[in-house]
Amino acid sequence: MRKNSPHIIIIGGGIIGTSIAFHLAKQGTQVTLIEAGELASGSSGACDGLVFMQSKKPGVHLRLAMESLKRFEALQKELPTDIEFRKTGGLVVIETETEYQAMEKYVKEQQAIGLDVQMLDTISTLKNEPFLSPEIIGSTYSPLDAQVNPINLTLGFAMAARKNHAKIMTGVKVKDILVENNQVTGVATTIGKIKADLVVNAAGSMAGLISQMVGIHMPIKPRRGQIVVTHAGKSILKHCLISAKYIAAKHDPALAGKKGQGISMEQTDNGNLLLGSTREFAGFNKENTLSGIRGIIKQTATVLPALKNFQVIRTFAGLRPFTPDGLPILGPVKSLDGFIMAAGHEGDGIALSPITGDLMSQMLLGKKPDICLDPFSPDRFLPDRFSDGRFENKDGI
Amino acid sequence: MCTNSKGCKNTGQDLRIASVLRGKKISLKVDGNQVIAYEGETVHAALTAAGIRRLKDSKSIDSEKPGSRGIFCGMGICYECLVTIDHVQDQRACMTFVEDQMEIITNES
Amino acid sequence: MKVKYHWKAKYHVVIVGSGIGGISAAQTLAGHGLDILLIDENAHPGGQLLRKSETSSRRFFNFKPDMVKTKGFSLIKKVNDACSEIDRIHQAQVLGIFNDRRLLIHTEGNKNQNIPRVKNQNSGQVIEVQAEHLILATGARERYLPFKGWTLPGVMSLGAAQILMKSYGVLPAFHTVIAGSSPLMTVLASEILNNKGKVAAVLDENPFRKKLRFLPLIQHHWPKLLEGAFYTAQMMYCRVPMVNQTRVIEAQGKENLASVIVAKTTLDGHVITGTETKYPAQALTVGYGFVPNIELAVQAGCDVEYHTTGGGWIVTVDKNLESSVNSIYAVGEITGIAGGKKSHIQGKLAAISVLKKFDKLNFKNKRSSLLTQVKQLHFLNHKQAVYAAFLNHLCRLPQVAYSQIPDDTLICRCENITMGTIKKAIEQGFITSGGLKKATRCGMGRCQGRICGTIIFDIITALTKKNPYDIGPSLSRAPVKNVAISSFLNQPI
Repeated sequence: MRKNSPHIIIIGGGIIGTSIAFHLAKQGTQVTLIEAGELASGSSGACDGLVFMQSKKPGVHLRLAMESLKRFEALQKELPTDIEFRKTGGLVVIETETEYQAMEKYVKEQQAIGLDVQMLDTISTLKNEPFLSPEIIGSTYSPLDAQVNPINLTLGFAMAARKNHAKIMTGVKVKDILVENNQVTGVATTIGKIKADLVVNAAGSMAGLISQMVGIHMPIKPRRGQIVVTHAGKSILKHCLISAKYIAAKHDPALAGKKGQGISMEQTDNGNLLLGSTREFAGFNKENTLSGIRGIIKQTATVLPALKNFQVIRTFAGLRPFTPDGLPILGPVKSLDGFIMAAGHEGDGIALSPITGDLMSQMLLGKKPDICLDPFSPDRFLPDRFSDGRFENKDGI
Repeated sequence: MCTNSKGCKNTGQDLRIASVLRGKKISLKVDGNQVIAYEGETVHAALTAAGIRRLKDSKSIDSEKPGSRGIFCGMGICYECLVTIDHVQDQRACMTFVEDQMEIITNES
Repeated sequence: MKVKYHWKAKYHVVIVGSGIGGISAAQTLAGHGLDILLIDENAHPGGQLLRKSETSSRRFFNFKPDMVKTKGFSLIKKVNDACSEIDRIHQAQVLGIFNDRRLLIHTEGNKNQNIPRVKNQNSGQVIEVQAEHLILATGARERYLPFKGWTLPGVMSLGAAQILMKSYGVLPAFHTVIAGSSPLMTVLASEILNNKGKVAAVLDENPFRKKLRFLPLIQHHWPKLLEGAFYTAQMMYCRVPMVNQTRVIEAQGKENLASVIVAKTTLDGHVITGTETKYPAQALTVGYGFVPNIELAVQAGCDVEYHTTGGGWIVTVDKNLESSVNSIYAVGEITGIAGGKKSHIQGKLAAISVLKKFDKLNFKNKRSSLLTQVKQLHFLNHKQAVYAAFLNHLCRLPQVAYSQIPDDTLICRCENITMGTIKKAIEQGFITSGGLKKATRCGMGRCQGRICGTIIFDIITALTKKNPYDIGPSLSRAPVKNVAISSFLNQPI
């Protein structure tokens, strides 16, 4: 049952939750966003700012990302914070022959979807990025890859939503999701009950815990990524950059070798270099490890030797919301009315936040989303048990 | 506004305290100029003694105007006293000891 | 560049910090057959308190009724003599503590082996050491109250001036203005006068009646009282103006400090416009008290708690000085700002706790004399808390000093973030230390919030009246000090 002007609760004040709140509030919808800590206190505040098309799986994932990319320039103008969006262009650095051959194949798949991407040899790569190591074999380059400031983007979404009368609550924990007659009626929080017509689970790496509140098992696992931060120094990296190993670790086990997790690098507007990353299942532990720190430094300095003149001032780690098929979980669940998933973006949350917010707001208001969200449906993980439409408690499927 | 009547006789260029025993006298090159120092001193002490206070300019796109910086905490915590020493950038002057013929460049950090 | 190791991979005890707390622990641990490592970032032991240089002549008047430093220097000698048992790494930074007390340490490789430095190259190395027990004695740093122009060269902390004079025999300037709220201001003034410098004025935030109010707290610490009286007498004799209820409004100068503007405040700390006075000066030394260096302890996962009388956020320890993390102990200023005596006592107590764990203190029927000292040490420890309360209360500024900082004043020196930006973020609801950092970048620079972190905390407190635990301490992550990437790549043999 959907009213014409529903009250929508969004659980989670990260990039996805605030983007949905922004897009809903723009249309005059009554929105309450509830965040247990502070805005961007989860993964959205502990990641790099790569808006990387080349790392998205060719197919519906890449299509979604390319559509999302188009919205960043408008957001740069519209949001009250400086989101530091820059179309730097992106490089995927290739270090071995095996990687080169695999990337040739990958590039063809990407081009088939319509991504502007090309192979570059060593000389052309170094022309684009002179401080890279001459030992690299080549790279793939796309002018579409970009960078953004994820914290400012999150805060910008939230502040703009607030301006459009969205209620943004921080420091408030959701204790339970209230259900009556198989319909979500609101949430119980540390400051009391709040009624709503729809509840959106945008809790990122903790979305699995939130969906457990209604007995729904969502296979979202936290996957830790560590980042090393340098001091703000002179410009040594114009593009944002990942390594072919990074794509392998993400998508293609055939490419992934034993030699590390792959790297990602960007130099922010401020001049700091963000060097990543690891991909570890470590529960909800957000600590940086010796091997993580050493590994990132060694691998990035190999690719970008000019890093030797930089100093590390800090490290941090974020938890990517991992899903088994690498696609986010977006949409309603068949088994419970009014409960909507919007999580599981695993390392793509920042890039996909504009489109997620837009499409989800369309869906939440009863419209048909501009891009079909069926491939992202939560029901792909839920067996079809409830032919009579009744809701039952399930303890982990 | 100083109204001290006793002990105000330090009129030399050098801020060093006369009664302190020092190591061997050595020579530094600071921004191309010869500067006297003594073994056992830190770079920041030698520069202060020579009246050199401006060590770097703050760099930030957010500042209303970048400003000169110098010694602040004196104990290696604030990272304001960064200078280039023998071509290695971003060294804390207060935590680095002088050596003969050391080359120091300010305002590179 | 390849440099030889000479420290072990594992130790029974690693002590971080060779100030009074650290060397007290080291000296107590020595002689029991344990492998001990003492690490310090400075070239010499003694921390911030025990600094001195050799002088050719007797000082103007060497009045030091407080024996802490004398005892401290003799401790250094004892620890130096025990060098066969205590491995030392100086000019090394502990970057972080990882699982099971594995330390990541940056060392200036060649300096610790007396190998001549190779020019034009960073010769630092990053090494790892395993500790069965870890004693953190990381000491304290200073607190600041920002004002316009406080980033000018020539504006420095009281401690910076003390270090210049004590360790290197260099005056901060020919004309120095001293300002702040710390009772150590007159100590510095005395030091400058003794060495033929000029002190333009000693400008105290505190009203006279505030000083009187807290004076009874140190009635049993008569050496400190005597010292204080002596310094005051010396100021008067040398006709150094000592002014109360005064706040620094601005440091002026083009590229270096040239003059200081101060103004009077009301009894409750509001600036009184129209009372501005200008002092020409080449150095302005400021002191507003101390902040415990808890960064490494926090990074290691130790719990912290907030105590105004302890200087703010301090490491939580039990009566054995053990933190909330097994086998990590905290001693000295990081368990509460209280001066050298407490650090001395706690270093000893922590060492005793560790010796007990190794079962080194019960020889058949004979109880080690150390164990008999424990009760007395606990009593002395408690006594120091009273002095701590005096020190920390006196240094503490009224909240209005923070809430009234003008909008165009820089708060985060590293990232150039102004008070105005911070106030806007607080209005937007960013009212925890972590949240404000995310929203403004305050604390994201090289110093990682060591200078601005406590200032931010005090600003949030003043503007929101929230309790300390709602605002929270700053989080620390490894590396707790900046480290060159090239140091990670330099290979040891």
